[in-house]
Amino acid sequence: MGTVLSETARDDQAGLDVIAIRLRQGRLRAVLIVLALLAAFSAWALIDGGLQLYLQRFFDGVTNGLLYGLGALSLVIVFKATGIINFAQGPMAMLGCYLALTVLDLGPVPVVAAIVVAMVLSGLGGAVLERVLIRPFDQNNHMAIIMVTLALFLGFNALAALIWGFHPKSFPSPFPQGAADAIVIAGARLSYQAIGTAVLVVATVVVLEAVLSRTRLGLAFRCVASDVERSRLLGIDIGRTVQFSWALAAAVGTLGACLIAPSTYVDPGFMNKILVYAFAAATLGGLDSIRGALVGGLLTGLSVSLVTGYLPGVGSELGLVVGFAVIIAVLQFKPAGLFGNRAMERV
Amino acid sequence: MPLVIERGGRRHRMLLAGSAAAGLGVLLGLPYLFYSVPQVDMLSQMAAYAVAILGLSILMGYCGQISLAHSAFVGLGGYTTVILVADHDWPYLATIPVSIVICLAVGALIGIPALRIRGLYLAAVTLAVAALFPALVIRFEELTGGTSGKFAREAMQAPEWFFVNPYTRVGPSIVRFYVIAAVAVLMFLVARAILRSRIGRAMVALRDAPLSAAASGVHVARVKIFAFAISGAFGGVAGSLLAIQLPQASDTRYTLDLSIFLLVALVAGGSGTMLGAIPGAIIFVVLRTYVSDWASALPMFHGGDGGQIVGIISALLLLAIVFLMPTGIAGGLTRIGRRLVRFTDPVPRGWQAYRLAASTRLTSARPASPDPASANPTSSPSTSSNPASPSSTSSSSTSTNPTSARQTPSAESGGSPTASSPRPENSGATTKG
Repeated sequence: MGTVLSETARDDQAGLDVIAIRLRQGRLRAVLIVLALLAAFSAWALIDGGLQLYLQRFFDGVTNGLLYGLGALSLVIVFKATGIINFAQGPMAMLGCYLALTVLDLGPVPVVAAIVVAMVLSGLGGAVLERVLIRPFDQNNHMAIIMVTLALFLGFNALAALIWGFHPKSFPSPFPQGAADAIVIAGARLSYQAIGTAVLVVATVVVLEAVLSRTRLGLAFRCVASDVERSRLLGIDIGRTVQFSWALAAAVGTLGACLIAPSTYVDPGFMNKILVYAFAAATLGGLDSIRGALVGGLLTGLSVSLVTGYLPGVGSELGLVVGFAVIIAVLQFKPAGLFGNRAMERV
Repeated sequence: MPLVIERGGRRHRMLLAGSAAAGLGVLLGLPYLFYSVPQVDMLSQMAAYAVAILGLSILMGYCGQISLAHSAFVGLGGYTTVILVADHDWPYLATIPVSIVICLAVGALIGIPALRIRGLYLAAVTLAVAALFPALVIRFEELTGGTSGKFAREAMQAPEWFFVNPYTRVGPSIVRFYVIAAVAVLMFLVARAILRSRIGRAMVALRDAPLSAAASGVHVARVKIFAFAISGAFGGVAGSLLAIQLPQASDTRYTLDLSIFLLVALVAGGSGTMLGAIPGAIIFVVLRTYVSDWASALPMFHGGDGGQIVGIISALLLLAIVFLMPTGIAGGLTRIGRRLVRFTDPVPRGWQAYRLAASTRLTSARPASPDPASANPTSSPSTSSNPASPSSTSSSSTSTNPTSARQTPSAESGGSPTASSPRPENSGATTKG
């Protein structure tokens, strides 16, 4: 049975707890190492290409990174509650994005309203999926649940292609997207869309943290995340809580897809690539840390943008390689991620 | 009342030889049964994909590691064959060892992160590999032909002495089928040997109880890397065989979807059994050819998009199998077969040498204890002389062959001289008499 240590050790007496201090020191060291690497690369990039190019790449990286963080967030929510990675998260988000497009097609609705409707719908869908396909299985039967999520991956991709076709569609941005709608800093454009996205993402994380720490369901969620058996003994409805986490993850994923879509285009496979980046972000931040997902997303986005932008021979089509390298490096050097808790096995 | 056959006995050996001969006969006769080019090509595809699914089964069914990277291995093998044949004029069959070596190396490389991580992280890593492969193919365009694909000019030719006449209309396809089927049979035999070997047993132990396996001396790291490498090599061979069947390779042929389809086929056929790869491959190919054609012909989908229907059907099939028949088709067939024929394990010769003194007293004090674990006490000659004997042997090892189960711990502990000295001659003789 995995026991998560440091969540409980964050209260006042934590200062006395040797393990908590060790954990915090290790975490700080890891973050510092990553930041130092990033700073070194940035210094080289500044000398190599000048300030304007660097700032542009930096802004791009941060914007993308926040969106990867949102994708990672939806993975983390499900992982925290159930201990499984939802492989169908990408296709689920893609379906949510198509739902928003359909709502937009129905009539003159503001984009924000369409996104909200899609989020609600996909939240409901996530809850139904959990109830029908996931709950019948034993929570520890990971292989069967992975199979179910892979079946959903395949089925949703095919379904979207069947209903909406393969033609890439454009998605309107909820923020002004014109050529003039940008702040220019030292020659680099920081578009209003990027700013709006960043604000929205950060707001989402803040709201999520608040929901998880203030509401009764959030409390139950954190309890289940820390120990399923004990939560059951305490009288928490495990099924309901897991269902809540699936709904939340589906809604967050839909939001992420709708925010990514304006800068790319919508087709049945457009979230699959993002899924890999989201995995990288979630792994980097630690799969069981909400804040870590955001930070991991930022770092992943930055490294993808900087490495593909500056290293010769690594074109933009090799962004996936950078994401893969991030996953491998994290697993090799700090398997729990920057902010994650190492699961301890009691034999 | 099922027919009872003792493992390793004369009837068992005859049964095995008979079914092997029948299988060989079916394999040889199949192309003449379906005497048309597309259908023989389909058979070849089935044989090739069976190898890929077998590789996946070794990793997932026997070693308990999940992998979505199989499409990358199949692609690696396919590109190896096509590039060597097209650019360097190699004979087709000579490329198979090369793709084995390449895929072994890459599989071991992917297996290294598998040491640190379990289950889901691993699946994430392998998913990234599968997503990466087409991007790499496009990136190294001068080698792989990029998005336009790579073709070998000439299909495989049969030598003069081969017994199939290649100058008929179906001839070349049949030649290719025999070659592919021969390599596939070889790979099945290799898999059988691996799974019965020490390291194969270690894989199963690792799947069932990782901690206990590590505690009893299984090198977890080595076994996992080995399983990954072997599974990758099987995927590579399958890719080469597919390239023999149709000498072309393109990035869209080896996407993540292929991995998931292979998983569907594995689970539907039955993971954790070798023969499950065969129904799995049949399902895989039938889904992608017949069902796809049928769906494309449906009037309501404007004649396009057959692949989407196949995707949805595969997803539903996977869900149905996971819910209703977790052991797959092979598992279901085994359950039916057990009603007809039941195999029992022979009582190992010289089992008394391993019996502890205390347990001797204990079992002889309880006369003729009914034992549910042993299938049929009358099947072996030794049980009639000592009714308590099967409870001490067969309860410890009901599923595996008792001789090997008995020898594994002694080989594992190595150093202790008392446990590792089998003395079959003295006690075995007394039991028989």
